Amino acid sequence: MDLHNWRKAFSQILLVMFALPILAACGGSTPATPTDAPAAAPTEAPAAAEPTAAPVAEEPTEAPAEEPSEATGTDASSSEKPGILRMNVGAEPDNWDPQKASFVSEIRWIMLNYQALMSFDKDMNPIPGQAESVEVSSDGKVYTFKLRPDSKYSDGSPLTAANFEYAWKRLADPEVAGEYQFIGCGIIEGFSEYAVTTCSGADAEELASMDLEALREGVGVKALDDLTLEIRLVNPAPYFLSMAALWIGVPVREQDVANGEDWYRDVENYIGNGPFKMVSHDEGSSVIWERNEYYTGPLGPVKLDGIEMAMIVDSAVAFQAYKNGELDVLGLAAEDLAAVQADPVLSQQMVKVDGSCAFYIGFNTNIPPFDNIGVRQAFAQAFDREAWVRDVDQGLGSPTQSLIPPGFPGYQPDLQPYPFDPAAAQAKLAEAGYPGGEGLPPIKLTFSSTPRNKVRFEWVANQIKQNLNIDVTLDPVDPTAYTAISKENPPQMFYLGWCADYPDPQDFLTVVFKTGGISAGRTGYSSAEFDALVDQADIELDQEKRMELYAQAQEILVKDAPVVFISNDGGFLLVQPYVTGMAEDDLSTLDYIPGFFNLPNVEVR
Amino acid sequence: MATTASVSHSVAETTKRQERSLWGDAMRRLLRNKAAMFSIGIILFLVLVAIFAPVLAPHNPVTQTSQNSLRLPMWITDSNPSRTGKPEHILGTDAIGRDIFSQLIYGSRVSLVVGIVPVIITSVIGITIGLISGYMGGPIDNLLMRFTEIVYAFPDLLFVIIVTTAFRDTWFGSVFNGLFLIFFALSLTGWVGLARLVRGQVLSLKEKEFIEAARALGVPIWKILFSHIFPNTLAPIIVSIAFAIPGYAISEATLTFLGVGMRPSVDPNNPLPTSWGVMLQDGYTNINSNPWMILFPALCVAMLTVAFTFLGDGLRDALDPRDT
Repeated sequence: MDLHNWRKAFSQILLVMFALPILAACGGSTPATPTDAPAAAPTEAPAAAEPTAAPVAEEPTEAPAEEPSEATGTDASSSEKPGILRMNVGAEPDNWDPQKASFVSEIRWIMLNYQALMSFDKDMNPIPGQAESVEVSSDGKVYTFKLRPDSKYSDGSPLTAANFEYAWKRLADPEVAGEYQFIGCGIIEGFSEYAVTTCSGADAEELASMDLEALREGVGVKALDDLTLEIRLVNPAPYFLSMAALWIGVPVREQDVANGEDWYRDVENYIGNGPFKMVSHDEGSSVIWERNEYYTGPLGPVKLDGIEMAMIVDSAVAFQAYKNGELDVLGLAAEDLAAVQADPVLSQQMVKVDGSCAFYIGFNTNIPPFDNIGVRQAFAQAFDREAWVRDVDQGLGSPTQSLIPPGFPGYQPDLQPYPFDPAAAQAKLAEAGYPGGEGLPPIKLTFSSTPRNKVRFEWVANQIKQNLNIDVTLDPVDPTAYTAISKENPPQMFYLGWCADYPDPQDFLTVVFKTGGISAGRTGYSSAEFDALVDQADIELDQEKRMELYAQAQEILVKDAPVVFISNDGGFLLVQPYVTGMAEDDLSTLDYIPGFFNLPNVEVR
Repeated sequence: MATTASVSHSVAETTKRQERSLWGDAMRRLLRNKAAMFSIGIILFLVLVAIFAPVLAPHNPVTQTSQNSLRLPMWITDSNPSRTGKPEHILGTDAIGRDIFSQLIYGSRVSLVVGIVPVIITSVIGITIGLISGYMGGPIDNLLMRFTEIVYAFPDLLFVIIVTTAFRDTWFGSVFNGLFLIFFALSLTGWVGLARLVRGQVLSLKEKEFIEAARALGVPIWKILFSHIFPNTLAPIIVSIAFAIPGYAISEATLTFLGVGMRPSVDPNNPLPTSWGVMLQDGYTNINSNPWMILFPALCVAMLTVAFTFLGDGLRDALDPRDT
């Protein structure tokens, strides 16, 4: 304790007195990947995207703002590097192997580097991508894609239908077994038989006894000739064209993949047919992309010469970089919204982005008290969602009581069975057998421990305390541990989210809440009625009837309340004035980078 | 050396001037030290604030008010009416509309408690081990000191983080919002310096004549240790304790800032609802929109630290027998 500790104490004093305010001056929020119009992504998990977190729930978290005026130290009329788009992508992704990736940040790279069979237009309709045209058989089960005749990879080598066949079969490969393998189960012919570990839960032993070569041949994806690819489905799947636009079936080359498990980490192997090619990757620091001169898809001709991605994890630093003119576009964080709005220069650079995500509080419906539907419904009615959006999300996003967000097919604006009403909530709780909350076991709300999340859940606990008079213990856990916990051993109450991969109710209802689905698995939700409805809707060809079935399914889901739907996201980008093609109308909620589906018009002067 | 007067002063010659004890001298020197007296004033002030927090705080620190987020301090006017300063919230509000001034007031409780409780625990452990080790010598000394060195070798902040992370899900991890666990973890490594300090003092004291005399008279060992040796080691112990307190308060802030300290609480009846560390963390998150949020808790932590450091300095000067 003597001198040694005195010195230590003194250095700590110095730290707090000087370092903190200084560090703080360049301030920060939770490190996170940028918002850029929440790219279509698999999303499960804690909002306030942690750097390490699970399949992303990307959230408008990023880039602070600061004091007014003299803010932008740049000449507003032109970039320091005309022709190059500079953006921040936050932390280094983990795995950008197309058949394995699932995080927004990973998919972003894949979609720049590769072009799928299909693509989307700005209104989320599937349009031909590397395929020039597509024919669907009258029974809706056979898709025939014709590739563009001059299809080439970025190294100039030819791209044929065989490359696509290889990629789709790789998606089904039980030895690859990526996070998104489930998506083909029961849809593509022979897929479930081959991808047995994912689709029917076979273990390694059973796998070893199978003739994988034959099963691989059985997958219904076939190159008929160099330019023709046929995909046969088990049942009609009206959303299949959207699936064909995803990263899951992009044409990785067998010769590249043969270079070992981490093949994609070597820029030399990461050869694609996308609008850009990766020319250098400095791990944890930057990625440089150049325009792919051989690109023939719908996102070209690309005007940009290239893209430079920085990996700045501390959003405050990224914001500073934006203000210094080192970044051209940046997502805006809720906690910094007020500062940007107060700044006359920066407030002019805000561009509104629509969200594609729903966020909700999940219950473990297998353990008391949330095995009781009345308790869940009481909780659903006890949240003032308007206040959540206003106070916690600083007005970004919108309140919701159902899963499918506004702007997506299947959205039901009138599905509002749980208006905020504390008295009704208390009555429901009493009806469920816990009048005044008496007799309830201790309730713990588990969340991933980030400063931003802490405030959110203090708000949630306060709502439950105020409106139901129930004491909830807050249980912050380490972000990485949270991912594991919520998958393996779901706590009583936790926070989840889902962002669209493609605009179809199937991507929300079936993928997320059918028995064993992404959120259903964690909450233990299983409803035979719901499953039957979505199964029927998934293969229904009459669009009107199909939507009707999904609507019924969503109503059941909301009534059963395995989760309390809280809000949809939404946010703002900051875009430098010399960037064109990123105005509000140019953006799509499925964008992988801001303005992705408007790429031919994106320019940096 | 008041307590040993029976031995050493029995043969003292009578002097004309009034008798001056070491403690009296020290007190006089301390009273003359302006910085130390000012520090004592600040510490007393903080103690009063902590005790009377419910009376002083204008709001309950966990009460959230809607449409009242990130309000600036009352003297700042902003074009946005929901952010401009209001007299109800002297220092503004945080992200979910809680009053910052009230949080600061309640936060002083945690900082003082977390400064003082581990110091008491580490003092008991450190002094006991130091006394035994120094006086007994031989294999016992060897054993205790090797053990002390092992503990000394742990990087303590890292060790504390590991302990708090490992135990936060157990029952005692949630006692007092997790504060108990922090006390425990800080105490585990905190006692070693004191143990070594005390042992060093004892080694030199036990060769002194008055101890030899006590031994010769057949005074039992525990009595020699606690009535004769211990009081003579008090001066350096007091100084080191004064320096240790702010160290613990800062450790709490650091741990909480790193997200492994106190648990958040929304219970309006919780006596320890928040801490300055929690406030620093919240402030850091919102630094761009409301930079004041981090400034106030940072100033408070700095004030507490500086006060105890000046007091420690003053005590060291005052208790140094060479400086008469």
